Amino acid sequence: MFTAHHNRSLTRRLSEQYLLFGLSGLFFFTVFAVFLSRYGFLLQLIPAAVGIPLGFLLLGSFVLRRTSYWHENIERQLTRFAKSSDHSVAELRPLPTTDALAAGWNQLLARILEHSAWNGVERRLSEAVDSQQAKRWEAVFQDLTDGIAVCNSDGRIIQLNRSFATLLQQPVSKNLVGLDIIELLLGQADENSQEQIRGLGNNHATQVLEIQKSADPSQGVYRLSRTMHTGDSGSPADSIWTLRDVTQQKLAEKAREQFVFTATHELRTPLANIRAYSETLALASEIPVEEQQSFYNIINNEATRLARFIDELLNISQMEAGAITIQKHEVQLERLLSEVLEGQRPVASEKKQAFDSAIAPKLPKLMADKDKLAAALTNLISNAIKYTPVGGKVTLKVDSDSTRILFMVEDSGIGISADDLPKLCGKFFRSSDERVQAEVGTGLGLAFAHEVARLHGGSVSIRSQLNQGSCFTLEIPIR
Amino acid sequence: MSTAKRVLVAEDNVVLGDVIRFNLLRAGFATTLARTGSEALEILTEQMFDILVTDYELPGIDGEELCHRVRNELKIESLRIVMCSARGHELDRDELKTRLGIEAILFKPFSIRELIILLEDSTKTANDCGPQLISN
Repeated sequence: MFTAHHNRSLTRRLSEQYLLFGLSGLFFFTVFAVFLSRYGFLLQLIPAAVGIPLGFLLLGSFVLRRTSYWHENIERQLTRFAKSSDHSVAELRPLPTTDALAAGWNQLLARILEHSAWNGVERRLSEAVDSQQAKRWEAVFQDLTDGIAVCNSDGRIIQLNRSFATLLQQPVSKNLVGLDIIELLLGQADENSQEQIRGLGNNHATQVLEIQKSADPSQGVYRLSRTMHTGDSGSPADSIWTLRDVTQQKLAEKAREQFVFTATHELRTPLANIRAYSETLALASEIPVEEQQSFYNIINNEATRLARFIDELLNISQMEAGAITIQKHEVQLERLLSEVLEGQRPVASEKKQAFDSAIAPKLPKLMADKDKLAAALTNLISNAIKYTPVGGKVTLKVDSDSTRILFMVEDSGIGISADDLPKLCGKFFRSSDERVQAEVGTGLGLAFAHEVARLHGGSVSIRSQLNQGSCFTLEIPIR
Repeated sequence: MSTAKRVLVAEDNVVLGDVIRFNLLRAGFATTLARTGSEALEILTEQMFDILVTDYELPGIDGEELCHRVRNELKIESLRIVMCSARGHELDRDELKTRLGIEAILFKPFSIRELIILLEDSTKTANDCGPQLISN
């Protein structure tokens, strides 16, 4: 609340007050001087001439000080505020509210302090949010399955995540910061990959390499990429390295290639036989009739083999596309089993194996897809024959209980290592055992049997001991 | 032909091996059959042959390894080699020919007649020019 008095300017207020004191002082001094000169005391006037103006001067300065006190106080505070390094509003002090000016200052100060308090709260909040975000980013960085490392221009690691250390097979406790990244990578690469890493150079384009731990890809294949990260104002570039484990993809790729190779080999072999025999029959003259007959039989057998393989390929491609369907009908189990057994008997006898079956006399009715079931059983039995040495033993046992029928294919073959066992039903999987590699196979037969069992609501289970033999059990529920 | 040329056939596919032998015998070659790479090596250490017809895929010692051993261990340089394979073009024909001194590579299914003509030509060249290691 400002009065009219306070609306006038400071200069005017000061000059008015001084003028008032000056004029009144001059007036009293003149009256006093006239009075004294009338009674001839002019000589005594000298001390008064000094004292009275002095008194007025003192009084004036006192009034002036009273008037300008708050202004000076405010001025001092503002000067100090301007000169302080941090411009902290906390140093500004409110004034005792004796004056409208002080009240105004106090109100202004209160507003500023309130504002700065809000600012402080806001800052603390945003700091809290930022640090939480930073923590979250850090956690994301650490938990990425891809390994990431940032290096300075000398190629030394500045920052890395856990996966990077894990993929390089470095102990968790070891601090890799400051180490040379090329050295680290070289330690985990085979000769060929080492050469590639050394050849990276200083090219600014992103470089991608595939590095392998050893010639055997199952030991680990990694995709390594390096991206240059140019700092501000052309400072030396940091580099960002990522490392991804692509072992599984690589193995799947290899398995697929192997499958294509196997499939073409399997197609060409009977075709080569058919061509050779038919050409012989067409060109050679005077072949004894019996020999001719056996040649025709061979051509017929090879054509059958080719047709069977094509059926298998179709099954496989259906399985690959996830498109195998089954049509359940009542199955005449005895007939189906004898067909399967007779189909495989010649193969077993060629390897001089004891090929037997033990089929329970009374089997319950089974609703199943006859062709798919026969193909699955054929796969299991032909595998058993294939991976059992000459003179070994292969047996098919069929049994049932109240809920299911069990088809058990037992052999005295090479067996399966504990390492390979869990991978066995995967598509394209073939053991690296050289006894397995020596045989022709697609790595899909067991996967197919598994799929057929699954579609019937059953399963395939495997028991095996390396070099002792295996037992594959195909289980199909009765209903 | 004064003496029959001696051919060793290394082929693990029994039916194919049989028909190759049947035809080679009829074409006048003295033919011996081996079922594996190691069997072929054994036979080669004991007897002299003019030509080796080998499959690329053989159990144990494969065709490539067999040729390598023939050239580097048995040091038989005069032996002419014809390779057949059920592999397609993933096989580097020129590299194999140069490195192992293979005269020809046939892809299965190949023609028996083609094989016989190749062997006859090869033995003729051998008569004319003497043993030759590398030929295109």
